This record gives sequence, C-alpha cells and structure tokens, in this order.
Amino acid sequence: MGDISTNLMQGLSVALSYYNILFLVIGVSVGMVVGLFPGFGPAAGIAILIPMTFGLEPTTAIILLAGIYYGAMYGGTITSILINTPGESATVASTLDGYPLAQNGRAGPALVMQALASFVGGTIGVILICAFTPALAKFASSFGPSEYFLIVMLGLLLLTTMMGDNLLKGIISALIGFAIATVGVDAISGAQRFTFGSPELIGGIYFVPVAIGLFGIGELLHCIHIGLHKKQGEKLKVSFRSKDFWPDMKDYVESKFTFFRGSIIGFVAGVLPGSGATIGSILAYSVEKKVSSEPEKFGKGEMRGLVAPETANNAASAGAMVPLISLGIPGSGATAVLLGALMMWGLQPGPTLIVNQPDFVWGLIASMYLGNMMLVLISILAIPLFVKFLDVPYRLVVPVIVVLCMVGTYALHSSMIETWLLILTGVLGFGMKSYGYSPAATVLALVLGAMAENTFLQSLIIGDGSMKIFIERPISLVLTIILLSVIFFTILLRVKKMLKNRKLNAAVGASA
Amino acid sequence: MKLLKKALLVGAVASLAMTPLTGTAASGYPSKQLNYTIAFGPGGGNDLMSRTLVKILKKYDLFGGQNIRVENRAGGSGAIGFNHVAKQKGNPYHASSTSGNFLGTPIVSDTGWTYKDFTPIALLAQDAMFLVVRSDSKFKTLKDLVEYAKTNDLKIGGTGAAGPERVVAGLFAETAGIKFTYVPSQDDGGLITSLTSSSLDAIVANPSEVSGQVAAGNFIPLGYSERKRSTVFPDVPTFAEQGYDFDFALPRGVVLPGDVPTEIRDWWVDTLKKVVETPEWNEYLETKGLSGNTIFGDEFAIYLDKTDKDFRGVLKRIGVIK
Amino acid sequence: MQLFFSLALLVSSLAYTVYGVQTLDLFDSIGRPGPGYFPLIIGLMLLLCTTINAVKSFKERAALLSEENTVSDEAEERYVKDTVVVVALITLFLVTLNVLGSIISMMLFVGLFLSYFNKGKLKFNIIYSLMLPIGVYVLFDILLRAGLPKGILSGII
Repeated sequence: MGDISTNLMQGLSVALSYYNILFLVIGVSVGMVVGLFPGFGPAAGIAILIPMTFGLEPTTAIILLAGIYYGAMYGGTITSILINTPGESATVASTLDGYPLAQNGRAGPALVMQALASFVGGTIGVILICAFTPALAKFASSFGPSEYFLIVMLGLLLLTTMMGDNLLKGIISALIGFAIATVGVDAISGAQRFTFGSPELIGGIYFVPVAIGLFGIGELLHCIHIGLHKKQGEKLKVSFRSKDFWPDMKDYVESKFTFFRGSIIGFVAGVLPGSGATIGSILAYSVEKKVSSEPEKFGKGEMRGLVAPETANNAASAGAMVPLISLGIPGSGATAVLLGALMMWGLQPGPTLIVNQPDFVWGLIASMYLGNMMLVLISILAIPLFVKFLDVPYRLVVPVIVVLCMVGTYALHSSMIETWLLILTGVLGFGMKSYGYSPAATVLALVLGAMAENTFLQSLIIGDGSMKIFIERPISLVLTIILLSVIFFTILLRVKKMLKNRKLNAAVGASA
Repeated sequence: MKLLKKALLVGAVASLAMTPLTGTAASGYPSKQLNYTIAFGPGGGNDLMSRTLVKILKKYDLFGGQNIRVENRAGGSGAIGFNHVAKQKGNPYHASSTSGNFLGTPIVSDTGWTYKDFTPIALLAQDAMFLVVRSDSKFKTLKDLVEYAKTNDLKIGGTGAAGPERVVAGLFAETAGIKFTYVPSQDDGGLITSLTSSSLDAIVANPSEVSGQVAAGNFIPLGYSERKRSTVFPDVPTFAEQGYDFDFALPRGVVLPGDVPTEIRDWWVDTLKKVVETPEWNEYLETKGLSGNTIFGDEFAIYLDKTDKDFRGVLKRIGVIK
Repeated sequence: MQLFFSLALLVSSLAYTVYGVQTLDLFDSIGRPGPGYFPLIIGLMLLLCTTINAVKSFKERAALLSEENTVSDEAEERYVKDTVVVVALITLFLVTLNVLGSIISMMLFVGLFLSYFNKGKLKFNIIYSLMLPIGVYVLFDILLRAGLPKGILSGII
C-alpha cells in the first residue's frame, strides 16, 4: 500500500499546480463538448486538439490531452443516453439501458448515475494502476495472438446476452457486423476484399459512420415513423431541487455492487491491448445481467444495465494506460494517438519511461484522477442543460441531429463514401430498430470481427495449422476452459428452461 | 494568446537573424498558403515527421512568411492522402511526406497513382529495420537463428502482409539460404506482444517501435537493414557486415505534385537543405532512431526507382504479388 | 413491410456470399485458410439465418392475413410518408454537400425540412435555417478545423 500512496502523492504534487489544473479543466470541458458530437470520440478529439498542445510543457500537454480523453469519453455517453448515438465502441453497451431510461423520463437520474459510475470506475482504475502497474505489465505482455483470439471470442460469445429477446435476429445482426468487417485489405494475406476497386475502401469500413448511421439516423427515422414529431415537447421540470433530477435510493442500493464488479472487470479488460474498453463494457453488462435476479428488466431501462458498462469503460480507459506507460503499447485508438503525442515531445514510451520520467508518468495518472473528479462536478452542473434538449419539440431537434451526424462523419476523414454510408446504414438501422434486430450487436461485431479473424489466422500460422496452440500455452488453456464452460452452462440453462416451460405447458394443458 | 505572441516573436527574430533565405530561384514563390497533406492519421510516424518539418519551416520563417495548413487525410494505407496530392498536378502549393506506404501501397493495391505521379524533392531520412529477439532467448547472433532454422520452423513476425518488414525478413532468408514462416500482425502493438509472449522467435520492426524494449533489456536487435550502421544505434551490426549481403530502407522524404516547374523544385531543395541543418531536425532523427542520410532532387528520383524495384522483386519472389 | 426487410437481408446475404466466392481465394498457396475463408463462413451462416428468418416472416404475414378481423396493419398510427420525406431530404443533403458546399447545403436541408414539418412559422424557420448551419460551420470548420467542403463558396470563405 505504501507504493500506492507515494506514487500517487508524487503525481499529485506534479499535477496540483494552478497551471496544470487550469489546463485540466480546459481539457475536460473541451473533451466533453467534443464528445457530444456524433463521430467525435476520444481518439478524434485528441487528434484534432493535439496542435493546441504545441509549445506546452510535456507534462502539462499530456494532462490536457488526458482531460480531453476522459471528457470525450463522458460526452459520448451523454449522446448514447439522450439520442441513442454512441460516439465510441466502448459506449455502445451504454445505449442498451441508458436510452430506454431517458425515454422513460429518467434522463436526469441516468446522467447523474452515469457521472457517478464514470467517477467510481475511473477512481478504482487509478488506484489499481498505482498498485499493480509492474505486475500488470507482465500480464499484458504474456498475451500473444492465441490468447487474444480466445478473449475476443469470449467477448463475442457474451454479445448474445445483449441481443434482446429474439436470438435469430440477434445472430443475424452480429453476422452483418462481421460481414462489414471483412471489407478492406486482409491483414494476413494482403488481398483486397469487397473493395470494388475503390481506394477509399482499402482501409476497411470504419465503425464510427456505421454506428452513427445505425443508431443516430436509424433511431431518428424510427421516431419520425412512429410520429414523435407530431407531439409537442413535454415540459420536464428539471433542476437540482426537483425530485426527478436525482437518482432515488433504490438506484443506489440496487447497484452498489455493480460499481465494483464493473470497475474490476473493465480494468482487467482494459489492461489487455486491443479492444479493451469495448470488451470490458460487454463483459460487465453481461455479467450484471447474469447475476441479476430479474434479467428480463435489462434493455428496458434498468439502472444497473447503465452503471455496469459505464464503470467498466472508464476503468478500462485507466487500465489502457498500463500497457501504454509500461510497454509503449497503445490499448485503443485514443491511447495510440496519445502515444504519438508522447513521441512528439521526445519521450520514449516503453518499459523505461516509468524509470526515466517518473514525474511525467505519475503526474499523468494523478491528473486522470483529478480529471474524473472534475467531470462529476462539471457534468452535474451541466446535466439540466442536456436534459433541456429533450424538451425541445422533436421536429426542431431532427435538423440538429441530421446536420451534426452528417458533418461529423464527413469531418472524420473528409470521405464522401463514409458519408453516403450514413444514409445506407441509417435505413438499415431503421429496419433493424422497427423489427427487433440489434444494432449494438452489429457495431460490436464490426469492431471485434477483424481482430478475431486476424488473431485466429496468426495462431494457426504459429501453431503450424493445428488448433493445439489453444491448449498448449498456459493462459490459452485457462481461457479455453472458461470459454467452453460458458458455452456449456449457457446450453445447460437453456435446456433447463425449455424443460421447465414444457412441464409448465403440460401442467396447464392437463388442468385445462 | 501569450503563446502566439511568443511564437511570432521567435519567428521574427529568427527571420532577422537568417537574412535572405527565400526568393533566390523562383521569383515570387511562395506567394500563397501551402497545403501540407499527411496521408496518415495523427500521431503516426509520417504525421510526426511532417509536423516537425512544418514546425521548422514556420519557426525559421522558411516559407516566405506564408501560412502552412497541415491536414491529415488518412485512409487506405496512404492511398487517399497521396491520391489527393497527386491530383493537384502542377500546383506548387501542395506537398506531402513519404514513408513506406508511399511505395508499398501502390504495389499491392490499385490506387490510381504511383510514386511517378509526384515531383521528388528530398530524401530526409531512411527507415531501416531491426531484426529483434527476446533477450532471454537462445539466439545471440543472426548465425544462431540461421542454425536453428535448418532443423526447426523459424517464425518471424512483422506488421502487415506485404510491407517492408516482410521484405527484410524475406531478403534475410534468401541471403542466408533458409526457410522461415512469416507471421503478419495487424498492428505494432500486436507485433510486440507476440514477441514478449514467446509466440514467435523473432520480429522485424522499426527501431522506434522497439527501442523502449531494447533500452529496458527485454529485446536484443541482432541485425540492422541499412548498408551502414545507424548513427543512433552504433552497437547494432548490419546484416551485410554479418555476411548476409542485402540492405533495404524506405524513404522518408518530401514530394510535391507531379509537373512542378524546375525552379520551384530547386527552391524546395535549397529550403530543405536548410531544414536538415537545424538542431530541431537532428533532435527528431535522434528520438525516432532514423538515420539522417539525405539525397536531393534527381538523385532522390533514382533512389525511388531502385527501392521500388527491390520492393516489387521481393514481393514477387515470395509470391505476395503476381 | 417486415417480410420485405427480411427478404432484403436474404438477397444481400446472397450477393455477399456469391461475390466473395467469385473474387476471393479460399486457401492460400500452402493450403492455409486464405482471404476468402472467413467471408465464406460468414456468408453461409448469414444465408442460413436470413432464410429461416424470411420463412418465419412469411408465415407471420400469412397468419396475419388469414385473421380477417384485422382492420389495419397495426393499431397505432404510422407516418410512412414523413419517413420517406426525411430520407429523401437527407439524400438531397448528401448530393449537394460537395457541389454547393457545406453551408448552403445545410441551409437548404434545414429550410426544406422546416417548411415541411414546421409549416406556418416562416420567420422562425428562416432564422433557424440560417443560424444552425452557421453555428455548425463555425464550430467544425473554424474551431475544430475539420475542413468541410466549400463548394461554390470556395472563393469567398
């Protein structure tokens, strides 16, 4: 424990200068605003604002960028809750219960709980970083292609728990995501797949336009279809004093363990480079649904269904710092941009960073903690403003959403193909929403699909074409066992349920 | 605001100190804003080099007091960004930085442009590769690897299926007369963990990607793919001096769109010669582990021809392209 | 409508699978899974699932049609025409984005949208369709330096 406090104190002494705090506040606020725009997730936010940091001290600059990272992550969730449009793959799971909560008139409590969840997740994450960075670095570096394949498969398997009631349609949704993921140059063979000769498709289809189309435009078309634009805005009275603003006692009590489960799951997933925060949020959500006594409430506006992925993705963003600072390996798009920024200031990421630049590393971690605290304050002050947005008559909101989705997507890569993709996936999303498919499964499969294929093929090449590699390596063996037991128990539970239903039906039939 | 003022002041002082820098060859150039396109996302190697270059151009006021607009046009492994510049044929107010994909992407994909659609200005640095093993492995020299490969299946990893990593691994195996299995990774992070996790025997990587691990004593570089030893890592022997006679490095240079007038090209050659003299540029080379051997103008064009030929040749022999 | 959507998914799956098989190699030169291997597996699974799905939708529809007392498709009111109008407007927005430039095409979109959906409030609509695009432009192009298309205004801004 001594280590944690000395490390953190050292960091705080660096971060707690007026100058650095000022930049932290700027970073967090700018990040939050940037994150509100569809398409502008943490990675894009940091990338756009990197030029702002030229001429700053490295420590101040990284504090500014870390603030943007956190702020954007948080801002992206606000849109997930309010308009069902996630800005980042890690917040897709937050739409599942966040949006229904807002629709049930509980936008205020949802946003407050989300801020709280982010804070707890981030804080636990920071404590875990200080305590375990050296050990965790070793853990992360023992993950090769076979281990990654198994962990991604675990994530994909758990996707089924968030597919809603209709399993067939859920599987179709995920398969659509996989199909989209195969577009572009195949990393293993170098062959072009489904690019139709267009250079813009060589790099594949980025998930952000797909997510904005499926969720943002799809939801919008659905709302028009059911006539939301004909209704007058309901006047929600939201202020700090109103009862509807704050979560009620039930919310806190029900989700007290969720906070911890989500944080730990998220952190561990985040330490693994790759899609840490995304897998973490899926894992946390499905675990929460599994341990809940009323899993049928999930997906219909269950507070725990929002708290779990939110604590997880924030703990994961902290976890993602472990491979970044200890191995020089970026764990996500956003940390990859951070890595580039580190090198721009002449810092050499890798195992020596923490030895040569302790001020910098612990300052960064302390700033993450302060950033989290600041976010809770800023967001609670700003929530009434966000919720006001829901008061505006829907027909006036539509142009804002459309314009932001279009311009945001175009601004990503100045690509017209991606912008056209928006309307295509928008219509697809509308159909999926109307007929009970799962856009979340599509987006998550798109993000994880390519990784699953690449790591599988790499494992096969390394293992000389034999699947033995998945049981020969110790960590792989453990993961294989976990994977197989999850499959086994899922089938077992289903069979049990079926038998029970049959018995019930038989009993009803007999009595009738 | 204060920063901006400071930057302006530095610029003004620098331009006073370094008297007539511009307006020698091409009269009236530059008279407009320069659009510097980076064909990759922010934070990558190409981005870093381009932004360093632009920073130096601005700091020493080398672009005639005109503004320089930097824009990232990522996508398609450089295909999108370079395509944008190639389309500005004859327009001297566009420029871009090359890196491995400048030659590599048109070889493996149908991009609609090649290096021939650009005016080469200067090769500012060379991107050569390290062959790296884990320090706790039984391999201490390249010879150990070659011996091992005679009786075992040697597995070497690299980023991408048809990139410079594969070319270096292929050339090494050809000159050593061994067979090996190439394992492509989808990104640099995955490549490094596949070595740390003992999934592979060795990897081919950019010095900057592995220098952290090397400094920490986790990895050992066994060979360097330039003809001469790197100035940044003088202890690492080259492949050639260990008896594996090949060299391969990719150009990090500056190009303008095709058909730019000769006097504009010469103006740029002169300007970039000043850039490589600055302390900022040398600091950049050092931190990135790049070797700073420079070539200008026509010589750069010849160099591009040769490297492109090598690149295509190896990929053809190993069957990646037809 | 649901049947139509299910059929569209089925047709797309078929196109994906056939195109994949025709353009990609299943195995590489030394017999390992090649670039076409995964797309084929995904394609076949898609075909299987979407076929079952389409048959299901067909049966549901048949059951619905056989129930003669059904008055309309669904009890609630639906706004099919409005939805089509929105899709058409977004398409128009996309077509004009590069030609007219971002500001004008945004103004066109917002203006047309409001004149259809917010009829009779001319003054408000005009102000709204001027202010929103300008605000978005300032935010993205000037503050975030996103580089939006300038179109016919390229000489002026």
